[in-house]
Amino acid sequence: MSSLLVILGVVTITFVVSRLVPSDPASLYAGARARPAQVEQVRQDLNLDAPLMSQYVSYIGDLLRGDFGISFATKRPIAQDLRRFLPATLELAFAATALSMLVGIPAGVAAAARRHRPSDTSLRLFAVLGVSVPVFWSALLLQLFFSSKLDWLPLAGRTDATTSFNEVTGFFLVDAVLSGSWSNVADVAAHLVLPVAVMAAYPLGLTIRLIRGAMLEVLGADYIEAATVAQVPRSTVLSRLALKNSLLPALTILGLTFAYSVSSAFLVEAVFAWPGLGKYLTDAIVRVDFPVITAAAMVIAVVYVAVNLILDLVQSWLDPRVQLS
Amino acid sequence: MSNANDIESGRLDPAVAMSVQDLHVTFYPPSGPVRAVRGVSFELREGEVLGVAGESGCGKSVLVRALLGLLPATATVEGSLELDGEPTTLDGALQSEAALVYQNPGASLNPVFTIGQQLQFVSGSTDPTELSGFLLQAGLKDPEQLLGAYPHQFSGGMGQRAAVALALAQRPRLLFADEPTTALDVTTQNQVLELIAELRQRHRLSVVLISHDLAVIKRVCDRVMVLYAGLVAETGTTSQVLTSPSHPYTQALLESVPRPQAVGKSLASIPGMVPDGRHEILGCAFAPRCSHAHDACVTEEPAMNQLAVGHSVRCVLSDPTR
Repeated sequence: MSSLLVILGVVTITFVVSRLVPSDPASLYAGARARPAQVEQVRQDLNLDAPLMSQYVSYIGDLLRGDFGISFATKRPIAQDLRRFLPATLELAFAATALSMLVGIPAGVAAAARRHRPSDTSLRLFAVLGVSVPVFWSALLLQLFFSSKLDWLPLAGRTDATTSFNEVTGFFLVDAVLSGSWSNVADVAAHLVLPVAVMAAYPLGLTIRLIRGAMLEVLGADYIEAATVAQVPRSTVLSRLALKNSLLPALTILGLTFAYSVSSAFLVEAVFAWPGLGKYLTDAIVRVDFPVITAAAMVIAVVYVAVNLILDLVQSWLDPRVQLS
Repeated sequence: MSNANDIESGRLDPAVAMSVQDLHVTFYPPSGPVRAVRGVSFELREGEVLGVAGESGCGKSVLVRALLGLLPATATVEGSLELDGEPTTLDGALQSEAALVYQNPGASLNPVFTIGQQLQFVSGSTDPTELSGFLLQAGLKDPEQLLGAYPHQFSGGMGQRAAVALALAQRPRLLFADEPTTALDVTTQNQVLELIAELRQRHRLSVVLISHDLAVIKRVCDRVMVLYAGLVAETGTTSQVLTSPSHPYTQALLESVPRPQAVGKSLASIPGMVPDGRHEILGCAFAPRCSHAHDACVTEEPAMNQLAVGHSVRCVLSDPTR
């Protein structure tokens, strides 16, 4: 319920702001060289001369029906665009988050278990690099090395020009699997490697640091010493008894980085010519394309709300002291 | 059961379960080495409860953790340990024979696993009947239901019983209890002490009970060892040490126990602090705080003097040669 209120709030604020800024939606839609009569025509077509309140009500009604309006710049229905661009970004964000969890959690545990030894020091150095190297720089370096020099991986894009399959879900990896052709899957996967690696660097570094810190704290607890006295194997102590206590803070941050990466994927998408939400939104901002900005803001709000809901569920599963009301 | 009665009536001396000789523990923080335990020797007999008394910082907890091999690798532990007369290493070999119960069940129980899961980890058994048996032995009712409960759903007393159940699930011969009643209210304290006394009887557990509270020690311990600055100040049977305390430190500790007869009088306290182990101690470690101290106390380290069978004191006042 409160999640719905958050989304409504975001929609309302972006709607109001888009009408407050000193620019005329009708003339934006009609174009720079439109004559006044044409602008007036557009104003009537788009219902822009109606009172603000009735515009707002009809806008909310449209949203509930899944109609996000029409882009000023491209004149395409926004819902259609989002169906193409959102899965592209989500695919990157899901893969990057999965990678940072699969690698970051074991690495953080290993670093804590080997505290102050060389493997710990190198993992910590790697983590600091991950969170501090700017993505556009690491992206260019990886392209230079793996695409231009070694020619192991494609430079940019989601597929080769010659690859084609039915876009059922918009998640190309899923679509490629559905197409039943392994060469499609291999092509899509190869295109994913570099952008995902670049995008995962930050959450991966963060995960290693958070898990390591939380593990070190938990490993000093009485119940861990008690398990040692009880001769529970060290591997069980690390991977089960201590890890479950350490996961919570890391997963919370990781969930928020996921949501953040959906709205901030622009740099990665720009370098890898990835047709995603970030690029779509940035283009809209440059063109003052308000319907698109409002729609994208709403989508991002939905992602944040969904992530927080999932985090609440995970939290109550991990920590019995947390009760869902 | 007849065996236990024999022990109580003193007709049969039970075998020595664990013997510690000349244990030294030194830590090396950046500020310089700290000698936390400076040569402690004692014996623990089968089915016996040995109380280890002393104020904070006297080396009680470090002693137990050194025996169990739980100290960080940066600390050095020297001395010898024998289990049933067999030499044993101090690198954690004792863990297979011993269990440790902590002060605060809120910290010694893992908050994110059920009691059943924790019993499983510790005992390696998945049989619910066996697991609830451990809870039953620790005096918990409805054990089948409690297997699915989380520690935060327990009261302090129940939590400490669950912690004891976890210790029993290790099927130990030796039980180390580090201030097991300090975090509990008085009624629950008594219940936990009764539980420890009962377990000693039923399982012939040998127990080392650490407590700063001599009233607690008086209730359950057969023998007492009073530690001061990492050394044994006085040791003997509970009645020897508590009814005729011979070390001024033991006397001072006893005077600082609140008594119902003394209501209205201000409670005695020992002036000063336990010396920190960084400085080399000349003479008797307690001399700076001792009301009986004289010149000899500051210059020479007192030896252990035997007063009676089993009752020894490290104090020049009890030196028969003087």
